[in-house]
Amino acid sequence: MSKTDCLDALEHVIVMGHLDADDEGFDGMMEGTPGALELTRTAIEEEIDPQNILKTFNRAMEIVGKKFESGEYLLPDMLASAECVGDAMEILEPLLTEGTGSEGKGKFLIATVKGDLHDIGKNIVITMLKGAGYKVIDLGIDVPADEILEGIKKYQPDFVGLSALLTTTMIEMEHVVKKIREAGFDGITICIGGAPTSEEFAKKIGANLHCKDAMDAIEKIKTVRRNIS
Amino acid sequence: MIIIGERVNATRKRIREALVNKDRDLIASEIAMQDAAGAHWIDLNAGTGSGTTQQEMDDICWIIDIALSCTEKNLVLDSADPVILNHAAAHVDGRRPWMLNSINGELTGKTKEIIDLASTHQVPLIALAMDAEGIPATTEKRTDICMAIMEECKSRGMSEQQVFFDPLVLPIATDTKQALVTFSTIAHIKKHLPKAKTTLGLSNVSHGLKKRSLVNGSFLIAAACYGLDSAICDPTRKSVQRALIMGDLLSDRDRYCRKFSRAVRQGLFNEG
Repeated sequence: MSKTDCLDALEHVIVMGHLDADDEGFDGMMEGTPGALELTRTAIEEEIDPQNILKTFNRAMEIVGKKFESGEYLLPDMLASAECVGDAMEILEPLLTEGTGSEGKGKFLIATVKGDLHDIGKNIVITMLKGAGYKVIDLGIDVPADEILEGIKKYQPDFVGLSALLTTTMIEMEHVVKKIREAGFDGITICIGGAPTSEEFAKKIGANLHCKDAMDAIEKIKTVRRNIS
Repeated sequence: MIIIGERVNATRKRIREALVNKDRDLIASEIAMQDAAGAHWIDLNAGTGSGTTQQEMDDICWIIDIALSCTEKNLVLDSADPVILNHAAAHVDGRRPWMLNSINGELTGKTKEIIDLASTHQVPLIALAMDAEGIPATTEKRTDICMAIMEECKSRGMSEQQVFFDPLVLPIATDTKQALVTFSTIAHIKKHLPKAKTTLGLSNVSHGLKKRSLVNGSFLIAAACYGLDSAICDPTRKSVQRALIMGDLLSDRDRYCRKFSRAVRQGLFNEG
């Protein structure tokens, strides 16, 4: 297999959400054929530049995003592809040197704020972020502001994502944003999301981005230059 | 869900007639249509209820030959008579994986012969949760029967995972509790015999009612959610196909909801 063929095949299986040979794929016909994990290993064995493999992941996820927007793909189809990339990234990651070039993606620390126990939306965002090549640190649900602040100190993320699904808990976001800024982390891009949140609310509390869903999050944080501290 | 296609059964008039007229094409098409509809196993039953043992032996061999030539699917040899089953198994002669349908809790000499046949060839065996007195109306009695059957099967060299228990169902038209009795029997079998499989015929549940395919399909979906592993059904029917898809979807047997999504794309859930 030529290097181009190998990357084309890898792109195809990711679009089909075909994780490995045991998986049936989007069309149900792919069981027994190499999936994203096998082809990522093949690509590495063929000594393809890891950056090119990473670009293939991104290309595939862009196609998936379009298929989702057009309605051809449903949410679980998109998650299948994102999980392919997330798992394949674990194979690829050791070969990628930190912060190489402008393509280097950032670290994303994410939490559902104190008082709120919702995590379905947050987990979808995590899967999609991993699929898009970000390193994600998940602090979980019902996380107090102090814990988020400790997490920031420990992991030095480029992005902080806050989730809340209740009008009563989204107020807590304001408190968290204030604490982050007071602690002097001005360079961090703070993203908020969750059903009751809005663009206006994000602006009001001093968050950088409002993300209405997982795809919106991916699109918006792509436009942010990575903060290299 | 493991699908056992039930159409080739001599209790059906068209199959009985095909046996009399030696209508090979009809049997072949009955098998092929179930194969195409996704059956994993094809049940073959040549018991007309009126012929001699010799006749049934000849008939089932004739059906087996047709099946071997028109499908790659596995075969279920279906009779209550060990003489028929022994003869049919010898006729298949290792040319295709097969299983036996069925025994019940009336542990007679005949039952034991069938268990021995399954044990000798280490093939799966369907066992009905009933005994000489018929189908018990309670979960406890049906479970007791299953435990007794399992003990007998184990003592004759079968392993737990080779037994497919059919918890059976009585018509809800005469006793509205009966669907729940079946569900809790499935749950009990899962708990006490975790490696054993469960399978289920559907149509009895709706006996005496209208909209029977809707009742049968809904029953199958609920049974799937109680852990039912297999259904003895007609996979060519749209209502059955829909229920199989919904059952898998709601019981964590449809990764990324793909089977469901494909069925939607193929129009299975369109009106009409």
